[in-house]
Amino acid sequence: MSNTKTRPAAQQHKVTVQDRRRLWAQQHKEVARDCFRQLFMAPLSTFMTVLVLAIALTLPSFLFTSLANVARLADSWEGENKISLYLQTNLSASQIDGFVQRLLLREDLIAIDLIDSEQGLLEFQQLSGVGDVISALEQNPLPAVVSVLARDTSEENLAALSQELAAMAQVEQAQLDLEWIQRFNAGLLVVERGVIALSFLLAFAVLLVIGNTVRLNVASRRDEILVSKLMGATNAWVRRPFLYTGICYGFAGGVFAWLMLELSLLVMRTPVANLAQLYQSEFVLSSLGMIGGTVLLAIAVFLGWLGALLSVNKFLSHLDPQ
Amino acid sequence: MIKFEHVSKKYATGFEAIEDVSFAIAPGELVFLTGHSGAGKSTVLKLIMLMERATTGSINVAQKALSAMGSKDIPLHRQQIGVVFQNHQLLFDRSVFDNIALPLRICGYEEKDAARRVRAALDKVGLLRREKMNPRALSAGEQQRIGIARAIVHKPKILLADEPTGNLDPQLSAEVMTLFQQFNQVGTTVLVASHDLNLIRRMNCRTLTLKQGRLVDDV
Repeated sequence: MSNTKTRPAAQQHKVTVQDRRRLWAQQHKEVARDCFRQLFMAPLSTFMTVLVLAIALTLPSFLFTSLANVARLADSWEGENKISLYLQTNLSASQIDGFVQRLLLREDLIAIDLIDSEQGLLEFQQLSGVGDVISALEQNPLPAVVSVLARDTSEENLAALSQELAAMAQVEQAQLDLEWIQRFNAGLLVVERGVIALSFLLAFAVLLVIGNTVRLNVASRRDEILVSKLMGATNAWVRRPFLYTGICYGFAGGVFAWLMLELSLLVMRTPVANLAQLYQSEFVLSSLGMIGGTVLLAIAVFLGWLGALLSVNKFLSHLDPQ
Repeated sequence: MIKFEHVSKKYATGFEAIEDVSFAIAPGELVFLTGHSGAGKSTVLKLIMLMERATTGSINVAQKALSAMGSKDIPLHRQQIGVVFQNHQLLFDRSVFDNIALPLRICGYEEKDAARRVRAALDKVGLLRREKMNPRALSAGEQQRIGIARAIVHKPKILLADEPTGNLDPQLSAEVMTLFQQFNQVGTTVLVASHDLNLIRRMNCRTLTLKQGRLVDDV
């Protein structure tokens, strides 16, 4: 405004970049406060929305946690490169010892573990719960078992190795637990994909719920947005309270989902432990954990933010001058 | 301060709101824009605020070409303009104080500083005692004055008013005009669109007259 022939121009207060940065935090604080106030103004509808979000978030989290637990169970079997050699029952202790010595010399095995028939019987008596029946037997019916771990864990090698070991004179039977674990893992993968697909659907539902809630919010504050825009509000300024609302919904939904998940796992923990005990397993149901919970919250917050962003942007895009 | 050069605005429907309009308003001027309803007064104000873009011709505001401004530049452009709307456009979900504080919050003023400026603006329009009230509870004249306080609270370079006396009786209209004169006296460029010819005559100011989208008089 260099041209001031008529009168000095009105003194306009300038807000500098430093001011803006300093006030940025203040503005965010104000907006967050307003957002909380608005959410608590209609507690029932806010609670219902949060509950819907929580349910949509709990379901995939629950499935993922269950899946992780099952996968952990499968890992605990770790039979993948283990071959169990059931020896002939007529071998003497020194013959077995010699056989184990020979195996120890082999390059293609990394571990050899002998469970002789006495030890096997003892374990069986302790764990199976049919100890009385067994002690009634005159003779130990169990063979000595040598379990070996193969160095090369490839499928062909394991098959070839187990065949080769089975052919040895001392070996009655060589058992490779590969096949059913393969089937189990393949099945697990299918279920995992299903859970992922379902998760995407439910994430989309969360997006829609939050997007719709924010859309109604935007519609009810239409006048305010239009007036603010005419006064020079930036789109970011207009968006801010709605993004806060979306994030609040997402966060609250995430927290509730986490709670619901932990509660249902808590309820399941004892029955699962009992079940595991019946199978002589010490398997314990693990919960979502800090990392899992944080991921859940992060996803929920992100979905809240994204849903709100899409809703407000849709409205703002109509306001550009033609 | 505001310069129109051969500006036309044609809407998608084919309606030509203004046609080949040229004028220049110097900084610190108080100018009236008059004409029958539908003559294009509102369109001129909308073009200045970048609520709409000109079809042809060029508009300069504060020495900046509006055609060169993208969506990102619009907020800063609008922050230097105060607007008084015909239907005052006050927000009834908040107090008078919060209504007037809105432009300051948008421009990023500190809370304390903003409160001081809001009270100063309220004082100027003589409604300091109404700050905590809901604007719905005020009379039409008072609502219009609150709208004016909101338009000038951030000391804009330019003040635009669209039919600011539309719903007011002659005495209130005169009061509102006096307010505009006061702001003009401290250097604000003021452009008032109004069809109240009696009032304009009394003010004895430069007047632009639009007729069917064309500028027919500039005295």
